[in-house]
Amino acid sequence: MAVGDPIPPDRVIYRALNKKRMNEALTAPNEIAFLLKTANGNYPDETHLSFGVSPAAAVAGLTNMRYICSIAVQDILRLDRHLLVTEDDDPQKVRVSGMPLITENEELSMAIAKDLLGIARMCP
Amino acid sequence: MSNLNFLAASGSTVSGLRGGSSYYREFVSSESQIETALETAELDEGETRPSDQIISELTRLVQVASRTISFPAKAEVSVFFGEAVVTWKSGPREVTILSRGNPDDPKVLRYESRPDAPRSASTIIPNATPALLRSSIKWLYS
Repeated sequence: MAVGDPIPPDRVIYRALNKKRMNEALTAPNEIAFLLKTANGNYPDETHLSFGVSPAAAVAGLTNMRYICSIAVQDILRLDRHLLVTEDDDPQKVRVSGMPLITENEELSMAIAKDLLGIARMCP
Repeated sequence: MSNLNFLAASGSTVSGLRGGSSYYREFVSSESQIETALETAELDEGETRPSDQIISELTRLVQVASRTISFPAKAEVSVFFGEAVVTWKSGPREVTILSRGNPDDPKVLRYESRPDAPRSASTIIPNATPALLRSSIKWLYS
């Protein structure tokens, strides 16, 4: 497998979340959990959401990420939003791309974020 | 100063607001809760909070719109790199107001998940008014 190769639909991928990206009851992600970050400081605009191939891989290298949710790749593809689920250059990570930045298209970015929220499941 | 900030400044605990104190629920309006949530939301490293003007405009919009219609008891409030996001949900429908201070902000987003359809449906309307927000909240329950 190489960077950019599609992840098989039967796989489940995991996203690490901090408290900011959880609902108030901390029982589910909120919609900003699935928005791309715009450029800030020395960081450029994000071009993809980062997921892990496992819960441990999702949080690897990250701090303050106490929550993890999972999404089945086939559920992402079924959203019919032309999202891509592909290999990262880190074999433990997965990229989900194809959504716009909120500064580029508020309606589409928010709708896709809500779609992803609807298919996400919290990990115990 | 919002009602909640007044309570905090007076030394009263505000912990019950988010959880279950009926005392505070009775005395703190939804727009005050939204204002406080926007003012105190956790930020990522390097993230800027929505400006006071954005927060003020959004809470004013909710305040005016809610004079003649009951809003859902709970709004989900987030900030995201300068964007203020407030969402009310009912079943498959959601109404979100968004603002990052653009000339056509705030906007109202109506979103509906449709499990039997290929994809969800959404529409966004710029230059939100209290009347638009009221009609959107009615749509949430229609």
